[in-house]
Amino acid sequence: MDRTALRLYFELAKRQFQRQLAFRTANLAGLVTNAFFGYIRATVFIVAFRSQGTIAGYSAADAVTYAWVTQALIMVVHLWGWYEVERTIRTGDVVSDLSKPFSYLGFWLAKDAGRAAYFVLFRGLPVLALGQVMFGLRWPSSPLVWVAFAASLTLAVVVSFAWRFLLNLTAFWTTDARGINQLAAAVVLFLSGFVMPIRLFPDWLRGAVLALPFAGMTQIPCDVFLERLDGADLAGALGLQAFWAVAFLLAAQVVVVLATRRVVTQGG
Amino acid sequence: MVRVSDDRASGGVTGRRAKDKGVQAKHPVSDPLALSPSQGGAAGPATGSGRAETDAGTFACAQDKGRNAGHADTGFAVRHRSFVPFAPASTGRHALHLWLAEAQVHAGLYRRLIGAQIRSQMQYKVSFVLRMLGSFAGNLIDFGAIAVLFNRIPALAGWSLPEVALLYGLSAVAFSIAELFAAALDNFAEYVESGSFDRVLTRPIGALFQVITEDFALRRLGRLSQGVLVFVVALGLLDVDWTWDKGLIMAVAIGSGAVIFFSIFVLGAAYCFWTIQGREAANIFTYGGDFMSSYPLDIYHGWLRRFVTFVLPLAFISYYPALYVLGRPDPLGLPGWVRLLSPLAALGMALLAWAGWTIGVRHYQSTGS
Repeated sequence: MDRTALRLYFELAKRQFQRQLAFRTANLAGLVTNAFFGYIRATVFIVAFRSQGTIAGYSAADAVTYAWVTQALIMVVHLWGWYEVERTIRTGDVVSDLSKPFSYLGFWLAKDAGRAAYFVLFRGLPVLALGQVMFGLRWPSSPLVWVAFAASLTLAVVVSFAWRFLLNLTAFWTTDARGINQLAAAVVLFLSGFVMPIRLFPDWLRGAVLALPFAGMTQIPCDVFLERLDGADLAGALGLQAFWAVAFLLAAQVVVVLATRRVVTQGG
Repeated sequence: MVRVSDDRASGGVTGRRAKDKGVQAKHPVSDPLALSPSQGGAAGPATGSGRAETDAGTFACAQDKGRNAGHADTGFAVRHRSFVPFAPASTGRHALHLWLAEAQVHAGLYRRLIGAQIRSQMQYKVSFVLRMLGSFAGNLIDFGAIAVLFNRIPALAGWSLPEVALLYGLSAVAFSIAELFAAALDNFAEYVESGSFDRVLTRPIGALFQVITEDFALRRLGRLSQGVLVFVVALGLLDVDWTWDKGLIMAVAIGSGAVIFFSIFVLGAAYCFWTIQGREAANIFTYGGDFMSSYPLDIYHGWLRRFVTFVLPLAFISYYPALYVLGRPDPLGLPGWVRLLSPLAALGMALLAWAGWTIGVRHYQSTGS
């Protein structure tokens, strides 16, 4: 990839970032909603931990932080409710995107990166700040943890993006991809450890779920934030995320090629 | 139908209009602003004759400006019907007849409009089935989270898993019933933003009635069925000595809860008349309220418990009915009869929603593009 191409994708990401800036009040309303759910989830954990010292290695403070970090990640990782590609397929705008002289996958990945960067600054950090004010969170103890967290979060966004992108692409075959997206959202919310940490799952379920790509969307970044992983464990977890990111991106590229052929036959 | 006789003075005009606008002329009883049956009934005869007069006036305009202008003017005239003075005194029986006729008209219309909605949704069967499954699974995972947590703890603030499941089931069933009917209110901001609401105001049927018949979220039967499932399993697991009053309280709680949630959806939509972010603001109280009601209120801070008891009565959806059935003490220390007040809370919310909506409609200024 040459420098002009990189520059192009950077510009795309920047534009998407700037576009988000226009929805200030919507973001504020979403922030309040995220914080309200954060309050309830954290309160449930505090009461649940009252009689137990730790559950599955989490202290009450860990669990409260877990609840707030997941709430902060909702719009960054964007686990559900993303129909942007599906919409262009339904309206036919996809034709113009496909005919442009750049990678269709790269085009959307760049836009999603810009979107995620916006939500890190204007949703994730404010939600964490509110959590700190209301409950007091358990913050990473060293800058290195922040670096690992940033890496894990980036991979989480890529895995989540490729997954959402694949789901949206099913619209090439079904025109209405909302059904499959909703079903997938339910699966992801549960298997990513969003609604409850995977480490609290029953033993027979936990190992398998931790190896699935969805763990890389929420559970792994949260565990990195809480310093549950270090040394080989940390490398293994990041490696797992990277593996799924590459695998999903490859799958997405294959599906784009298949889908493009389909567009040509239909439009011919 | 009863009121057609009031229009006799200008029979010709009404007849002429009948060809133009089927629904209105056939059922001149329907009052667009008054969703409240009592208002519709009491003001009936007055608005009937009033309509005849304004019709005669607008009819003249219609001839000048053509058909479209006529429609727009009719909207104006119809909207101001209820301000016509000198209402002839009506007997109670007469009012009841009017009310029944009006209810019949709306029920018939509702059936037809929703029927069309459902038929159109059935055009994409695979997607429909998947969305229903998604709605089922998407909400079941909320209970999955509770189940996973209870796998690790014996009780939450003294509440066992079946007891929390009862709270969850009550709230989920009430919420999904409300959501079936309120689905169209989700997109209401677009209505206001695009100016489409103008179109609604020109039609001689209640504005809210028209908006909610734009969508009927049959796919959300998935959510309802998972709520019912959890509710029934909870009832089976609970060690409760069932008596008729407890059964009645459960049934009333579901109805009241649905009305409370529906009222919040309406208030959120009404708020869109001021800011198009209304729905986002309402999300906290609808989805957030449902989520919150799935857990015993004992766990929350005092200020929040008081807020959802005395200000926004979310506590009456699942918590107080559950306290009654389970015979648990109330940490707020309120007298026992408070647990029976769900219908009153629902009535209060419905009146508030009706008032909020009416004020919102009056406040509405078209985008006028």
